[in-house]
Amino acid sequence: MAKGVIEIKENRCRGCGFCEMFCKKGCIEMSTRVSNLGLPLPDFINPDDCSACGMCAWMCPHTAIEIYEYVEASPATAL
Amino acid sequence: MTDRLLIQGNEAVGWGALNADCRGFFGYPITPQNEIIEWFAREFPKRGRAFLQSASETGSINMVHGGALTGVRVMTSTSSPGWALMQEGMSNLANAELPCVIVLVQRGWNTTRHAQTDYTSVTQGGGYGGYKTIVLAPKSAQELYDFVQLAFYLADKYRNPVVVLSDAILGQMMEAVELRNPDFGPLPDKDWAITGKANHKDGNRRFSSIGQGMLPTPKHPNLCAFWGDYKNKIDTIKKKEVRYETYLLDDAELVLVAFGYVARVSLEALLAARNKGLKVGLIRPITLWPFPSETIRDKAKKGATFLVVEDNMGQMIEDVGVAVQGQAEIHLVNALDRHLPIEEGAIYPEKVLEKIEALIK
Amino acid sequence: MEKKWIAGTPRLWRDIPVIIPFCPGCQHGTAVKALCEVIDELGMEKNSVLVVGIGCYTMASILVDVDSAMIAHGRACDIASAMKRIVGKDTMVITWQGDGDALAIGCEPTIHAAARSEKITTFMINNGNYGTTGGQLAPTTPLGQVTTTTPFGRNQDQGYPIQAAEFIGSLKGVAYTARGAFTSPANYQKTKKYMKKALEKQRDGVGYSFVEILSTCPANWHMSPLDSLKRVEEEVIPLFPLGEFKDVDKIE
Repeated sequence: MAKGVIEIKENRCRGCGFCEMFCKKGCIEMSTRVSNLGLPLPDFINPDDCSACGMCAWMCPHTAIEIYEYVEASPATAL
Repeated sequence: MTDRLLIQGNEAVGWGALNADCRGFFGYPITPQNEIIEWFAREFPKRGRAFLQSASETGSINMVHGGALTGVRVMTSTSSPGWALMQEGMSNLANAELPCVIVLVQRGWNTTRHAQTDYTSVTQGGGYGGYKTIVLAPKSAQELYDFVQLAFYLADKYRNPVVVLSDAILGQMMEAVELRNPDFGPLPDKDWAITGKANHKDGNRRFSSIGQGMLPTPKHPNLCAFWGDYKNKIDTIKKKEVRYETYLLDDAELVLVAFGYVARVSLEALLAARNKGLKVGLIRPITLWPFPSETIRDKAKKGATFLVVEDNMGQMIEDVGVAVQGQAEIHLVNALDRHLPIEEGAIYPEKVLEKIEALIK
Repeated sequence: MEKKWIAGTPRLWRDIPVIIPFCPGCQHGTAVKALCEVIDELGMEKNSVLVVGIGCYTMASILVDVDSAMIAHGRACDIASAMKRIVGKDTMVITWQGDGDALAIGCEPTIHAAARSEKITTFMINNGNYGTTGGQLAPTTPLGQVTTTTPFGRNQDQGYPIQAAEFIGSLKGVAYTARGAFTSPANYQKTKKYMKKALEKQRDGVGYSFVEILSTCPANWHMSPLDSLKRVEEEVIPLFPLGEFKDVDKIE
C-alpha cells in the first residue's frame, strides 16, 4: 500500500537522474520521454511502494519533486 | 552664533560628516588623508557609529557599499593611489544606485605632496560602465565642512556616489571653521534599503543589484530600460546641479578658470591685475561634474580669452575646450609653472599675474 | 485519506518566471534549497539579509525570499561586515559565495572578516572550478584535474588546493567552521545541520562562522550527473574531508 505520492514538475526537471539513484524502493525511473529542453524526464513507475521518505526531493537539485504523505483525514476536515 | 573651530581641512571633513548624520566610516591609511580616518576612529565609536579600518581601499569602498545598502549615510576617504583601487567599487555603487560620499585628498602622482592630478579620473567616471559621479571641489576648510554635508544631500537625492575633491594643501591646512547647519530640504524615503523584510512597510523582500537590468525586475525588465533611467538621471543632474562662483566676470576680457586651492591663488592674481587696470575675471567651478559649460560658453561668445590655472599638466583645460567649442583662445598655467620646479613647489599668484600680463598686452 | 506535504520546494524558494539556469545535476540548487529550509526552520526569514557575489550561485540572490543584494565578485565579506555593523545583532547577514569568490579574488575580505570576528556567516560552495566562465582553475581544484586553464591537469606548478574550512578555523576570531556535501540524503541532512549551527553562532553573537559545501559541476567536469556525484565521493571528499573543524561557544 502506498504511503505517499510524488509529483514531478516537468518544467523544472533537468533530467540528472538523482531521484532514480536515491529512491531506495525503485519507484522512479528515467524514461525515454524528453522535456522542452531536450532532457530526459523521470517517471513515477512504482507508486505502490512509495514510502514518502522524502529522499528524492532532498536530492533533487532543481526542486522538481514534491512529496506528499497520505494521512488519515482529521475529524475536523472530514466533517 | 554657531561654534567656530580652528581645525585642519581633514578634520573639517569629520565634523561635516558628523553634522550630516553620517553613520559609518570605512577607510584605509594613506598620506595625506590620515587625519580623516584617525578623526573617525576617535569620534565615531564613542557615539555608537560604525568605524572600521579595512584591509585595502578596495575593502573600504566595498564596506561603503555594504553600509549604503542598509540605507544610512556612509563614507570613506582616500588619496590618489587608493582612489585608483576604489574604481571597481565606485562603478558598482553607481550601477546599483547607492548613495555614498568619497572624500579624495589628492596627491601629486605618487608623491605625498599636493597636486590636482585626479581631475580627469574623478570627473569622467574612472571605472567601468560609463557612470558619472557628482564632484564637489572645495577651496577651504570651511567649504570642506559644508560640501561634505551637501555631498550627502546630493547623494541621497540622486542615489549616486558623490566625490568631494580635496588635496594635500586643503587637507593639511588649518583654518577657522564655523560649524553651521545647512538645511537642504526634504529627501525621499529610502524604501529600497536592504535591512531584512521585518523592516519594510509592505513586508516584501528588497533586492539590490550591481547588474541592474541583467536580472529582470519590474522596474527594469532589461538593460536598456535601466540605461534609459540612468541617462535621465544624469541629464537631470546636468541641468539642475551645476554650481560655480564668478568674480568680476561682467567686463572681463580675460577669464581665469580654476578650482580648489588654485582658485584662491588665481583670485589673488586677479585682484593684483585689476589694481593694474587689467580686465580679468574668474570662473571657479564648484561642481567639476556637472561642469559649468554654459557660463564659460556665454563668455566665449562675447569674445573673452581664457586662462586655465590648474596644478597638473592640464586636465580641466579639456572640459573648458569642450565648453568654448572653438570660439575662444585658451591658455594654461600648469604644474610646470610652480615657483620651484619640484614637488614642494606651488603655483604662486605672481606666476599667474605674469601670464595675465603677457596675454593682455 | 488526505495528502500532507512532506518535502520538495521550500517555502522560501521564490517561484520566478525565468528559467533557472542551473545545469543538470549541478548541486547549487540543492544548496539554495538547504539554505531556504535552514532560514525557515530558524525563523529568520524576516530578519535575514543575503549577500551574493557573481558566479553560478548568483541565482540565490533572486531565488531566496529574503532581502538580498547582488554585489561585486569577491567582496561579499567586506560588504557583509559593514552591513552587520550598521544593522546590528538582530539581523542575520549571510554571504553566499563560490570558491573563487571567497578564496581567490575574495581571499582578503574573507580572511579579514574572520580575523575581525565579524558576526556574519559565510556559505562557500566548492565545485573545484570556475563554473560560470567555463571551468577554469580555481583555488580548490585538486591536483590532476583538467580545467580549461590547466588543459593537461593541475600540477605542482599551479600549486595546491586550499582547504578553506580547516585554515579559516585556525583563526582566533572564528566561532565555527564545517564542511558538508550533498552526496547522499544523510549528507544532505548533516550539511543542513552545519548550516543551521553556523547561523546559530551568528545569532548568539559568538563570531564568524563558515561552512564549505562541496558541489558537483557535471557540465565543466565533462561528466554525467551520476558520475560527477561519484567523483565527489571518491576523489573530492578524501581531499576535502567532511565534518566540523571548529566549534566554540565563546571566543576568549
